[in-house]
Parts: sequence; structure tokens; C-alpha cells
Amino acid sequence: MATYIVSTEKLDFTYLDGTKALDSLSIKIPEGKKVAFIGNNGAGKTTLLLHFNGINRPDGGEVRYNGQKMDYSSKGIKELRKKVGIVFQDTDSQLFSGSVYQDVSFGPMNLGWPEGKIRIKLEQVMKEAGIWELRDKPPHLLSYGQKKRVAIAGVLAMEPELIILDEPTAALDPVCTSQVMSLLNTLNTNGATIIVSSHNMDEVYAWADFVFVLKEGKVIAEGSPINVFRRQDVLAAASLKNPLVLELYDKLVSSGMLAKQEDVPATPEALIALLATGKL
Amino acid sequence: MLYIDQFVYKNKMCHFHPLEKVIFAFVTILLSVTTDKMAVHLAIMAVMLSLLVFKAGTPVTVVGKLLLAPTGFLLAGGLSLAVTVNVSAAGMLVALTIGNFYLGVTATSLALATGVLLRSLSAVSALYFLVLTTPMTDLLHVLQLLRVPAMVIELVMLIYRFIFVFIETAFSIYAAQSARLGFIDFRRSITSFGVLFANLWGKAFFKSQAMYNSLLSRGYEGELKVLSPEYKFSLPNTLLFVLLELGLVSLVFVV
Ligand SMILES: Nc1ncnc2c1ncn2[C@@H]1O[C@H](COP(=O)(O)OP(=O)(O)O)[C@@H](O)[C@H]1O
Ligand SMILES: [Mg+2]
Repeated sequence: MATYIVSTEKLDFTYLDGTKALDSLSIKIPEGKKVAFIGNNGAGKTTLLLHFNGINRPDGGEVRYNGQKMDYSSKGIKELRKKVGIVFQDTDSQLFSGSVYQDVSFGPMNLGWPEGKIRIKLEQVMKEAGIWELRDKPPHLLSYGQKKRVAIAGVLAMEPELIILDEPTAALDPVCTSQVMSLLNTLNTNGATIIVSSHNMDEVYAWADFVFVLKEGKVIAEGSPINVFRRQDVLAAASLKNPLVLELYDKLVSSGMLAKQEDVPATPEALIALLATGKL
Repeated sequence: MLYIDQFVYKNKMCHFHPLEKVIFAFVTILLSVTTDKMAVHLAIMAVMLSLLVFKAGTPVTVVGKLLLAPTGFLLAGGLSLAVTVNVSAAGMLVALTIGNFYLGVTATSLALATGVLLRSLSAVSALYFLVLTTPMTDLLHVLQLLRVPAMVIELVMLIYRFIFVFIETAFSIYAAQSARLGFIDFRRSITSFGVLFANLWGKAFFKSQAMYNSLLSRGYEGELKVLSPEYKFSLPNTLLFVLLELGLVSLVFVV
């Protein structure tokens, strides 16, 4: 039986101004997977993700972590936030310190690790994120992509078992995007569960193991990317687009230029490779 | 926009222990405010500016521009000290007659004005030496060594960061407004500035809320604990500062 790292049961959440952001939402996030939440702006992605480390608390229903009902005592929250790392969408608000090095050190310092261990960890994650050279720079002299990687490193330095990224690649250039995505793949291979929110369908289709589609605070579909993205009714309801690779593949098959495959290609590279070998 | 940090974080004296630089700068400022000797002031300026340009590698143009800012003030202030008003023109080097009074410059008032001007410039150049060679984070580290309460240090850290977030936010609103002709005439400008300020506060509020959330997520419990790079005292560097300082101090007794 699959174990679920986070799950919600009939979760309701209403903002102070009366906006009902989540509406009786029930989901289960399998451990060790790469999970994506897709949905248009205002669908409730950010609101939901902030429930996973206790920043938002349910108005109704419940959130479970590793099968246990979430403990909102200050001790419980502290333990939770050691295990769950969130990279926020607004990068500028995540960086508070005068230098990159100090900023990344903040999380590990709060964990109370010995200084030697922290320094080793800092060097390792900053190299992984490609920001070691920038360590003395103040945040306001960094480009957007660099700030994003600093924010990610600041969370990775805490070695969380669940890493959540809210629209990590929005406004990143293609090179930066693929660096971030491959970093996430490495982390996943090393055992972490990764959750991202996104409205880039191509990226989600190529990357995710499991997809949830949100609309107006409800889940309207879930499953493997190929199953979700084949459902035109869902995509239309959520006003999302088809992933380009899938659309092209379907067109090629229906027009008889390509044999139907057991494994539908997920990336442009896979599709191109198919074109070379899989012709009718 | 000219952010001086641009030159600070990678200047060639960045790796000096911040405490060495802070002590050197403050002893020099003390010397500058306590001595009247012009030669000492000139020597302080020469030492500080050459350290900046030749040792730290700060571009001359940057140092020049920064020095120009207080020089304007100081000249205006100096002028008011140099010019005196009297009923007789006795002792005035040059004088202007206004009715029954004489407006002019005397030898003592001129000496007073140049004295003040030089003293201020020498103190300012010592301060610039510190500011242009020592990043904010290093200065905060010194405050920490001096047992300044953590609360004050954290406030300075956040203010420092938020100044830039604030400037950037204001600038992006300004750019968006002027692209749509928000500042085309005086009346539109007044309206646009009103909107800019209102929005700035709104945005600042949301950004601080977002920052608080992200700090909480990284385990914030009321204290902004961060790790600084490791600073090392170095004998040659300390020796350099001590020798320069001794030279400046001994000049007081020589001239
Ligand atoms: N702080 C807030 N106060 C009031 N309403 C909010 C707040 N944050 C978000 N909302 C509203 O909640 C809904 C869901 O927002 P959000 O979770 O940010 O969506 P997404 O991240 O999918 O774009 C939207 O209708 C939004 O306007
Ligand atoms: Mg969002």
C-alpha cells in the first residue's frame, strides 16, 4: 500500500475578506513522488500549499502529515517545519539578509546544528544550486533567476523530506528553468517528496509523476499526467492548455505519421527520438 | 541607479577583519575631530583616499562622486563662517559696503572656515573608507562583537534589506505610471504620486506579510540567527593599520 506524506480531508479555508479559497478539498500526496498542482491564477494553489506547513490552518476538515492529524501546538509546528520546506513564489520577500551566505544559513541556524556542520552543508547546497560564487553578494544585486536559486538553497540547506515550491519557474528563463527542474529531480532521487504548483503545462507534463487540477478551490481531476492531460473536459473547465508534446504526438498518430506507442513520449527529446525510429 | 554596495562586496580589502577596519576608521575620526593642524587633516585625507583607490580598488570616479556630495554642503557652510559682518572694515582682507556695515572676510574667519572644511572632509574620508571597504553584514558582525542587543542588529538588517525592496517597488510603480503618461503635466504628476505612495504602502504591507510567512517556514522563532563568513585577524593587516595610525598621530607633534 502506498503511504501518503500529506493528505487533506474535506478541507475548507476562507480568507478574512470572505473569499472561499478552498472548498471541501480532499487529496492524498504519495510519498517520494514528484507531484504538481495545476490551475489558473486564483485556483487556490498557494492557499493549499500553505496548509502543508501549518502557515494556514483549516476552517473546516483536516490536514494529515504522515497519517497523523496535524498538531498545531508550537512544538508540533516546529517539528513540522523541520521536515517541510517551502520556496515561496515571491522571491524578494523570502530573502531578508545582507548577503547570500547569511541568508542561506538562516534555516540551519534555526535547526540548532553545530557551526561546522552548517558550514559544510552551506557550501554543498550553494554549489548544487550554482550560487557558491555569489555568496558575498547582497540580494538586491542579484538577477531574478539567481534570487530564486538562493531562495531554493535556503530551503534545501535544512534537508527537508518534503519540498514545496510555489510556481518555481514562473518568470525564469529556459536555461534557469531546466536547471531548477533537474535539481528537483536529483533531490527526488535522493528520497525527498517534491510538490510544485505551476501553470506551465509542458513542464508539468514532462516532469511530474502525479498531477492535481484545481479550480475555484476544488480538485477537478487527479492522476498521472498522461491521464489528466488526455481529459479535454478537465482542461477546458480549468482553462488550461494541452501540453505541446502530447498534442503533437496525438496529431502525428491520428494522421498516420507515427505508430501508436505503449509509452507516450513526455518530453520533446523523447518525441524527436521517436520520430527517428517509430515511423510507420 | 548607483548602489555603492556594488563596489563594496568585492573590494580588495573585503577579507580584512571588519574589527580592524572599524577601529582604524574610528581612531582616525577621533584624531580628526581633536586636532586643529591642517597638515594632519590633509594627511588623513591622503591616507584614506589612497587606501580606497589603490588598496581596495574602488574606482576613482565613485570616490570622487561620493566626496562631491558633502563638499557642496561644506562649502556652503564654510562660506557662512568665512564671511563676517562688522561696522568697520578693519582687519578685513576683502570687504563689501552695505549701508553702514561691512561684509567681508577676515584672516581669522578664513582660517576658521578652512579649518572646519578640512576637518570635516578628513573625517568624512575616514568614514568613507569604512563604508566602502566593509559590507553591511560585516559591520553588523562588529556590532555583535560589541555586544549590541540582537534586536537592534536584526532591525538594522531588515531595514537595510527593505530599503532596496522599497526602492525597487517604488521604481517599478513609477516606471509603469510614466510609461502610461502618468507624469505628463503637473496635475497628473500630483495624482500619480498620490497613487504611487498609496500603492507602495499596500505593497510593502503585503511583502512584509509574505516575508514573515517565509521566515516562519524556515523555523523563525523570534530571532534572526544567521552565520557570517569566517573572519580572520591578520598580523600584516593589523600592522599596516597601526603603522599608518602612528604616522598620523605623530604628525600632530611634528608640525
Ligand atoms: N490574503 C488574501 N486575502 C484575501 N483573499 C486572498 C488572499 N490570498 C488569496 N486570496 C484569494 O484566494 C483565492 C485563491 O488564491 P491563491 O491561493 O493565491 O491562488 P493561486 O495560488 O492558485 O493563484 C483567490 O480568489 C484569491 O483572490
Ligand atoms: Mg499562487
